[in-house]
Amino acid sequence: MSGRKLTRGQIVGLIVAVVFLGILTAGLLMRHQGRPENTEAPDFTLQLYDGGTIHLADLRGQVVLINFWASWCEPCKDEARDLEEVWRRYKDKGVVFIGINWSDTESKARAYLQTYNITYPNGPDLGRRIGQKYHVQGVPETFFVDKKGIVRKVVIQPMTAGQLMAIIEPLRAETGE
Amino acid sequence: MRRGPYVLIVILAVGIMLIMPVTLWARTPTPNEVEAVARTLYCPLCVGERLDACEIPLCQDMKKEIARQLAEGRTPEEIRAYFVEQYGPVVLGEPPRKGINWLAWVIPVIVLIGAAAYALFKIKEWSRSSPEPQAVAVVDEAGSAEDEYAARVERELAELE
Amino acid sequence: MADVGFVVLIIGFVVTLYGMVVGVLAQRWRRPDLVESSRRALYAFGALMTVGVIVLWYLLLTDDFSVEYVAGHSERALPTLYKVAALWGGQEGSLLFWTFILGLYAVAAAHFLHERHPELNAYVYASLHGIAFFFLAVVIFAANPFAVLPFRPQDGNGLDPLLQNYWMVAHPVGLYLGYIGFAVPLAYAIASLITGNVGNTWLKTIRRWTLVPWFFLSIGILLGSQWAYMELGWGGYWAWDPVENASLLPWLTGTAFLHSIMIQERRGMLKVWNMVLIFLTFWLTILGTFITRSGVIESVHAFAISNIGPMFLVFLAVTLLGFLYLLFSRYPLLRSENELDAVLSRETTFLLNNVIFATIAFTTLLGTTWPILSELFTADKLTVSAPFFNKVNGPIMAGLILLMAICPLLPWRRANWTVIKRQFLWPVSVAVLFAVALLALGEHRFWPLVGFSSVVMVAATLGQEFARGVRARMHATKEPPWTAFVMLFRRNQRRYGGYIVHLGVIIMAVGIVGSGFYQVDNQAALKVGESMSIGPYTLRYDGLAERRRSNHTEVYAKVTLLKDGKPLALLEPKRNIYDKRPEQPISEVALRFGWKEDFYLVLAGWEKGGEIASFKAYINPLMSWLWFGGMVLVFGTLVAMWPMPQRRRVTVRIPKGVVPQT
Repeated sequence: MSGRKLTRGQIVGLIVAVVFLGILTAGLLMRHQGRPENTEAPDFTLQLYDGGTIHLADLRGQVVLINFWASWCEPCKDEARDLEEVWRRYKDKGVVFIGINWSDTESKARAYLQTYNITYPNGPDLGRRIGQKYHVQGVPETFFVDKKGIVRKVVIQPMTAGQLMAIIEPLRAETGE
Repeated sequence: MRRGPYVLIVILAVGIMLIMPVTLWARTPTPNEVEAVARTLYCPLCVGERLDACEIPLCQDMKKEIARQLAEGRTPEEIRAYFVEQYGPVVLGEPPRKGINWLAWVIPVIVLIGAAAYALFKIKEWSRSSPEPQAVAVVDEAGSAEDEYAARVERELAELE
Repeated sequence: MADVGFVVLIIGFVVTLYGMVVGVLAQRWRRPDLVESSRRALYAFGALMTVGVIVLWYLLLTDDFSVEYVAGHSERALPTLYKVAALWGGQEGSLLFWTFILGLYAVAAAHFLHERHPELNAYVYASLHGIAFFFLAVVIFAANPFAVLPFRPQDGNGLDPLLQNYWMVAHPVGLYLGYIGFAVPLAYAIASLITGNVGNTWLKTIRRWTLVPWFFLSIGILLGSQWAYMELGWGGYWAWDPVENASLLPWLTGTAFLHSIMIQERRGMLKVWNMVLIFLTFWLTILGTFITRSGVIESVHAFAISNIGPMFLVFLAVTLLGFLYLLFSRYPLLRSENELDAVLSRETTFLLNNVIFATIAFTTLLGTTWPILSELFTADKLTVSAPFFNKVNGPIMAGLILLMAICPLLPWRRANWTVIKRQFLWPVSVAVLFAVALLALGEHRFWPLVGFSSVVMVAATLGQEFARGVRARMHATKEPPWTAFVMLFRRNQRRYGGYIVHLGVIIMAVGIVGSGFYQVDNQAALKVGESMSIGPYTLRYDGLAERRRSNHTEVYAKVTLLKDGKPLALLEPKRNIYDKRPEQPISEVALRFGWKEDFYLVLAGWEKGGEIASFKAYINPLMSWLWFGGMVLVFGTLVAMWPMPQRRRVTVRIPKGVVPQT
């Protein structure tokens, strides 16, 4: 290209083109960006169904299991009892379970909790903000956070009690340093 | 013994018992009312699917929730606001008119008016500097059909390859 | 057998690379024999792609489930027609099909156009090879239809139920014949920019060529809307879904181009506009492919997410920046030969036409990419649906209709008041009278009033144009009216064919406004024997039944449609439950169409084995006008592009005192 200068219109056109390509690239990168794994768990505050709130940052020093679920989700029902069973084993032993109700209706959610006798803290993900932070695309999705607040494992299918314990035990054994 | 007061009480009790189902029945929303609200909402999980057409379990639950809230006496506006709170503004199917999303509405208007204005401005600039076109027998004159045809012939001759 | 297919792809890859390099070298070294070689390579490419497609068809029709694509998109019980259509039913196959159609167009260009503009041929061939090379790279490295499974399944997964209907057989074919056809005009545009031969001659060749892909793209889009209307069961036909928008964007720029080149031919202006429009028309099809197949935007129609995203992005970036570079370096050659004379002229309306089409395209693109933008700049990822597009694009399209009425009424170059009064009197009066009549009938809403009145004005303008043309001919040549009418088309098929296309558009507009603003709906759950009413109709539910087909079960409701107590028809709205995908039943609408309105019935569900069934009924006034208008549009395009015998002699009586303008 000769050293000719560009006209104003041409510069505008070039900027528009570059910006647009940049937007597309960003879109593609965001799409490929997976769920947070081996990075710090995004912080959130959850209003619980039975009152009170839970703040993820407050739980530093404990192992946290975050489970996204919905009442219309069949595989979630498969793992509901296993989750509750494992919870009862580990509760007050440095492990916290948080159930996040995703894209659901309140009455159905509460009925689900009743049906499966779920006792660990549960709350609705209003506006799906928490799900967006965790790049949740469906349910069930379970995130295992260690004592330092790092997401160590992400599982996007229903789990059995054995599988749950196999992941929780080593995380419990770690020190919180 | 006087039976009057007891008859009155029975009538009153029966009346009260009858009012309840009548008022409940009066407040149960018809499928059309539910549908009317559902048509203004969009499925939060599927892309671009309107709630009345969506058949996934979540959408069925949402429609039942609409019926429930209509029966409680809430207005469609309140119900829509409720769903926005639950699932985010995606259920509205259009960007809300606040914050950055307001730009989605404004930018096209600016582009249209701006581009058109720019084009007209440029044309005015050019037309001011251009000379009067030569007197040609085009449709400038209040011509007869004959002149018109002649003009057309000329145009077509000009278009011949 | 699948290996044969893969080998064919590899050979094609090499051939197109060769053709691209040779074409470029041919121009630089001035070697006509190399140009010819590049041209032959196009024939080879076309032949190879034909073989590739035949191989995949063979694999599909012989139920070769060891091939991953066949296993994923076909099954033994699939009807043969859908086995054939399964070629384009999935990602890999449709990309192969795309490349095959590119081969067809490349061969057509090599065969029909090679003598027209020899100075451009080398780069035309090189460009076509370049595009082919890219698509083959995508197919080979990211979307191989001939990939083989480590075992051979007994049966396949079947074709997506949404695709098992006649529209989905024809609609993708129409779309692809449209999208890819624009590659040839683009190749010419690039060749003219590179060689500096930006004169108007190649444009004349290209303008007729461009009508062909535009024709197919219009058909493809219409078929797609018809599919949505018949199969999706929500009473509408266009949801502004990302894939729908992807097909609309190139149609918008393509239509703008077809209009804008008239100005370049007549006055040598808007050259830069035309280059950009022709580039955008093809580039936007690639962008649309990127958007829908890369997973950047989720869509109801989406193919499975794959790795082709980055490859398409690179291609988009390289072609866009490369084109801009070419455009800017040749800018001085694209200077206007004339300038616009007056604001009130036909040229101005064409320029406004470009602006409006560009704005509609911009808005559509903005809304479609809003999820990306909102995720980048706000906390929420927001998807934008029909309400946004209808509210923004709707009014702009109404403006377009108005422009359609005004443009033919304005003379070229400059209009004065005498002309304006004469031209506008009748169309405006008719439109205003119509609007008043509508108001009197009780319609007070702004948009139906504006929409219908604009349509009436366009109709009046068209009528006036035809009437004047016929009258002029009759006066000059003493022909009877019908002959004069037909001769109008023979003498100027582009203009009058174009008027028929416009007529088609306003008929479609009537359908859009009618069904958009006057729709009536009702829904109810009925027990057997119960009735519901909607408008002047009554529907009586007579029971549920089942029919077994090769790969699905049809559950249908027997419904009697009555008007004023008299039975009009027996409707059978259905739900098809496919063996391979029982969780995805497909609704089949029962449709009774007519000039005044469509009666549209959906079976929404049933309980207790059919004792109770729930229905949704819609009355869509004037809906059929949309499809009829589409047919008129297609017919008008055929009229405009049909090869006519060239006129040999023109004998004409030119009245005294008239100066011919040449």
